[in-house]
Amino acid sequence: MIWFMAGIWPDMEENKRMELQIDHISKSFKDKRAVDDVSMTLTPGVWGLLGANGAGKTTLMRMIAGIMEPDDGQIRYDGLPIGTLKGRYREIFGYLPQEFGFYPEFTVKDYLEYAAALKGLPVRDTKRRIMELLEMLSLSDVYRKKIIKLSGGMKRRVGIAQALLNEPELLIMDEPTSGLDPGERVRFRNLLSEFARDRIVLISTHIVSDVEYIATRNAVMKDGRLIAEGTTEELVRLVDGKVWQCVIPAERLPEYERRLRIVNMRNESDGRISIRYLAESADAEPVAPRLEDLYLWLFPQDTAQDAAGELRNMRTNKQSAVGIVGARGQTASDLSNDSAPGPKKGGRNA
Amino acid sequence: MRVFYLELKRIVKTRLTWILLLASLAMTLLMAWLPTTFVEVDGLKGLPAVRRLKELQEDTAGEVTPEKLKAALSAYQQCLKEYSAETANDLPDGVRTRHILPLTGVLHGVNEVYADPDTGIGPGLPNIDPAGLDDYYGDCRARLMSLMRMEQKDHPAARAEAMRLYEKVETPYHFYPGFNTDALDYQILLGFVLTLFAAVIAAPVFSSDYQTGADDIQRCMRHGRMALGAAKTGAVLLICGAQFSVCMVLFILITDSLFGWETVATSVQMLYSATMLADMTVLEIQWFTAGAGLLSLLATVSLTAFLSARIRTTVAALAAALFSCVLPVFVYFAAPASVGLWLRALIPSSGAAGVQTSILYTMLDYDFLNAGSLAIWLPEAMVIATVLELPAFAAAGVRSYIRHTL
Repeated sequence: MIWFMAGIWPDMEENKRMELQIDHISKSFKDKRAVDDVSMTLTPGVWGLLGANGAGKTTLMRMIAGIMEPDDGQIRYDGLPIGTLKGRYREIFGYLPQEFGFYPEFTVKDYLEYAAALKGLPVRDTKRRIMELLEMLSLSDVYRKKIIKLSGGMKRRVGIAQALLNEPELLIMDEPTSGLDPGERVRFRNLLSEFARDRIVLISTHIVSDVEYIATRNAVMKDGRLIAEGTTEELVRLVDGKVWQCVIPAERLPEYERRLRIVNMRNESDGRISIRYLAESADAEPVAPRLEDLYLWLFPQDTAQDAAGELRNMRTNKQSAVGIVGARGQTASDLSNDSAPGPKKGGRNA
Repeated sequence: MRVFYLELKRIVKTRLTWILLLASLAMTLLMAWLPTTFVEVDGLKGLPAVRRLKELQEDTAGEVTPEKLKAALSAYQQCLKEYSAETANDLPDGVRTRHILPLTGVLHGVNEVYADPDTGIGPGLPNIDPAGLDDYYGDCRARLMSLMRMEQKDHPAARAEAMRLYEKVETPYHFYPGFNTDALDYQILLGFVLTLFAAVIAAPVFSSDYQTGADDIQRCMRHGRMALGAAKTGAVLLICGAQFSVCMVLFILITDSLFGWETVATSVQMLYSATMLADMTVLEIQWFTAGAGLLSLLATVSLTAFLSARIRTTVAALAAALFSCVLPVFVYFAAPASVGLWLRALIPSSGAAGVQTSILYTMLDYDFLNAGSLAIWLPEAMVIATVLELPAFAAAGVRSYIRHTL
């Protein structure tokens, strides 16, 4: 803080290591603790932020964006608190919130020019950059159309374009793929993968496959806490041996649905149904887990299982390299080994 | 500057702004023309009536000297005597038009100046001795003194200040027939309507961004806080200020062209009270009303921008802004006298809101803000307050926007 008190501003360029440190931040709203003592360090690459609704993802992102103050803790970029970096932090920052607000009277052109001015892009670079992004996001044809008249997917792409305008070092996107059709999502993922080289990109999504393919690391939040962090492979390993597949007669599906945590089902040509489900063990064909399996394991919709408890259990059994984080910054080894009830054993081809 | 320009462009391109700007223009044209339609003279209506009135009263145009007043009053009384009438109303229409109407303009205020000092009731023109008008302007001062003794009984400083202001009033007064106080009333009414329109334009300036979520994105941008906040406030002030200025200039140009440019050289004392404290002609009071109205409007817009920065929804911001516009009217009728005066001085929209609470009507009154041995005439206090409030609310609005968190 001496540099601040003395009015000496350290040069961000000198300290350049591109690192966003989230240090024990918490945020409460009335009686709800939206973010609870979250710590993590974001480094270049695409980071996926996973969690169910109300997990605290958006609140965390808003604090990173500097539009919400944490009650406790601090967020630092390259070692400097973002609150003191002010405009210099915003200069290297791109943000797409969950709800993309815009002025109804704006055309795509008006909006992007307006955003470019606010981002401080020189006039001479503005048009070139806008054209690049329009091309990249397939928006060239609607350049002069009012945003309000665009489809949901197109609006979302305009939102993505504004976030990318200043070629930010740090890009935060909250549910960027919502409203995009599968083709658009694939294009977006490719665009983001290319863009994320030497940049920090944090995206939150419910669509696990979006981050599965492109995220270099993932963070999982539940009830305001960061409960896991690691690469997709590391996280997926947590449900290794817990994902099964079998084919059942159609008439027995209700019974299986009651007993098992089915993550996918497909009608087969012979009238039977192929199911993919999660269970500690089963007399079925084990299949390679995916990130979506982990997500569903951690966030069961119909059971009251505690995800942290699940992780404690997994950590005990796997001793994997993945970082499992407790509410107060404990690692997995600090957590108790109480086993949580998992899915019951499933059946093989019946 | 680029952000300011784009923000200006954005607000101007908003459909609501366009509609209100066009409506302002239409209102201006309509309200500038309407006062001419109220003039009725000798069976004529509208502009022909204005021309007829000028013809009838042209002999009394110019300086209002005591000699001219004495001659006019004598002629007035002579006419009544000839027709054995007690008042002008008892005269046949044609006689009244030919003999009395030419004198009424210049005799405006005589009845008031010779009112009973205790009751304030005028004696009526037939009962005033023309010979007593030799020191008409001295009598005006004496009338003001007695009036101030009634109005500011416990405030000698206010009485002294009123006399000091009146000493500056140019005498003899000037009178050029044809102008109509309805035109000034309509100017005030137009100012009020424009202030309401401005409040509607300004109310969403920050709150709509909060409501739509546009704010979330903008405040993450390099110039999305201080610069954008200042640009938004500046743009809305410029648009509303320009709207008001253009409309007021247009109104005055049209009005004065319709009534005749020579008529606006009339002293305001020849239209309103003979002891009015403002040293102005009609043209000067038109510009002063427009200028003070502009300051009031800008201060109101500034307050509206501040409210908009504090309130999360457009509807609530609009309701608060419109309430602040009509607040002076409530204060005028409901607040206790001295508290009401202080509130009227402090509420930014006071100068432009309503008719009775407007800067013009406040200038017709003898209200002072009294603080110990200090007294300040209410219209002066209102103008000073708006000059201070304009930057204060603008800065507070920008600060609120910068610090806004959900």
